[in-house]
Amino acid sequence: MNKLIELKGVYKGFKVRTGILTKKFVWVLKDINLFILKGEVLGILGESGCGKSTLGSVVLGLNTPERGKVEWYGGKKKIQAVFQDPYSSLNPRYTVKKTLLEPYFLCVAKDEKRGIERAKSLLLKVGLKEEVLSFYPHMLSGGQRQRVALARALITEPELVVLDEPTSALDTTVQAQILNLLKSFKEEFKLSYLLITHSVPVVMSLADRIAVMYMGRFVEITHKDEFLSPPHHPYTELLIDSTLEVARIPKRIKELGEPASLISGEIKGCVFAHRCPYAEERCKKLQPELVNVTEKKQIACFKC
Amino acid sequence: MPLLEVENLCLADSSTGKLLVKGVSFSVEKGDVLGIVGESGSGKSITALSILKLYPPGIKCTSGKVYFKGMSIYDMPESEVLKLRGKQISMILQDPLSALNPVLTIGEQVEEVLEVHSSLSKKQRKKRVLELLKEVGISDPELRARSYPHELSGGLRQRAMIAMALAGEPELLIADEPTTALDPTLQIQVLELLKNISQKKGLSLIFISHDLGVISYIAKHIVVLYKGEVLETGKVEAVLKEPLHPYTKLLIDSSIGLNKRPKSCQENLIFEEPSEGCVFYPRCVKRCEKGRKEKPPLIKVDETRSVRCFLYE
Repeated sequence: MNKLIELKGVYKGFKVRTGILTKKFVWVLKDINLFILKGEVLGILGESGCGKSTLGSVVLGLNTPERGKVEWYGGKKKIQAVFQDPYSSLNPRYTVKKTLLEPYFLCVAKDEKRGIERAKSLLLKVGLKEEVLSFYPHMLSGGQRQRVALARALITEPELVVLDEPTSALDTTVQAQILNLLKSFKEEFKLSYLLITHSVPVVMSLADRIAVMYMGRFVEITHKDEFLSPPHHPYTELLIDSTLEVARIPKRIKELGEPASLISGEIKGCVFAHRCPYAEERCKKLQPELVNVTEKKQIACFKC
Repeated sequence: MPLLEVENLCLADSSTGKLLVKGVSFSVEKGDVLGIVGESGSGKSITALSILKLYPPGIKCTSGKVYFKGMSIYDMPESEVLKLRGKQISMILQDPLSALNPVLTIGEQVEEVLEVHSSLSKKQRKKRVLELLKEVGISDPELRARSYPHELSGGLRQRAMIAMALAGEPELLIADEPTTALDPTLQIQVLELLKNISQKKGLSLIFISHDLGVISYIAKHIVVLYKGEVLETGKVEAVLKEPLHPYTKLLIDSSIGLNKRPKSCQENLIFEEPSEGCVFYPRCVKRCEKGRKEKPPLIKVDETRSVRCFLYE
């Protein structure tokens, strides 16, 4: 399969205000290497503050990295995005029609008749009725708005869609519907997704490959079919063990530390060492590199 | 006698008069953990707040009673209810950053509860604050007691909230989505803490969440709320293993897990028309003719289990 986009050695940092007058430069992404194949779903799994949304914005081209390269293979760059909060990502003064036609006019053609036709057929596909075209966002429920956001992303016929926590603001029953929609669209339109989430179940329902991120670094990149079986990076193990689901008793958690913040300064050694139940002396001195543990699994840990 | 009994609670929007909670009843025994599960708009949070007569702005109680150890809270003078709040019944809320006072240190805020609800001297109070912080798993309590809320991480803030809630040595703790704002690795730590405290002290817990996975981890009994009505109640294992109400079944089928993908859930309609009969009728896959016009009563299936559905008549 062909690569669609590739990030090579990407570093991204920001100036962060630390006091009234003091500012500090903080690396948010460190040595990120990734690619997404055509028709593939790459899941980025990580908790708040790990840099996963920044990674999304670099892929979208909304942020330029300080170091490294973002390469898009093939002609015109066709990327779209769906964000977490459908309340703030839709313009409250735009009707659904205007919301859908604006990107169509900009990216596809300035043809109102065909645009409306396409908008109507997409609305049906996402499970809404044609009448919605004249609605404003406040007339729709959270799930319905996320469907509109999805239709807006698809109207320009993108090749890659960045999904930044697309279901975490939604109720359980609505989440299931949206995940099913995303899955069927991927097959129907041969889409690639960059799926950003903190939830292991969500990433398992959609992704083909999963990259686990901690404090701006990838600590594991694994194909979905091997993700739940060991060996794991200790952080991946913690994420899996912390997952709660109906009628499953989670393992006892071995770790009790609090996550460090990126702002607190550069960490010497492995990014996860301060919370890791298996950490040794060398872990506090050196950052391990990602190595192939099996054909489908890369882990950055001395123990693996 | 149950520790807490909520009887036929009805809450309405005070400007439009629209009923938001329609006759909700449940009870909590001593040492029990009751999980209330419901999606947004189900009325779970306003029900929780109303137990202590803390009606949110724009919401009024139109009927119903709440009994705590047999005493009717709604018939007490306000001064008596004040003594109950934070003492015998306390609460923790979803977002600790907005529930904590930003200009007071964590220690001062925990101490405030002791000042109101205990007869300890200042020195004893200081000592008790440190004990409480330690009890909720905060390492280095002396340092943390001097910290302000913004200096702590989300997990520590929620632990500080729990310390405040425990300071009055309550018999009942109401927790409204206490882990929803936390990352999964912290969520499980806070849940385990609440579970341990409840077991160790025989503390009763009302735990509200939209997440069935969380409820199945912590609760012993469950109440399924939908649009202000109780649709099913029972022991957690029984309800999750064999859901009776079509809505409970839909909830279980839609929740995902490590190896559990969302089923292509059968559901009628995304656009709901209000129904005169059963509240779930518009989305129900089993739609019975009777439910279209008539409201089903809560039907007792066995000793511990009830369901609001004509299919079980």
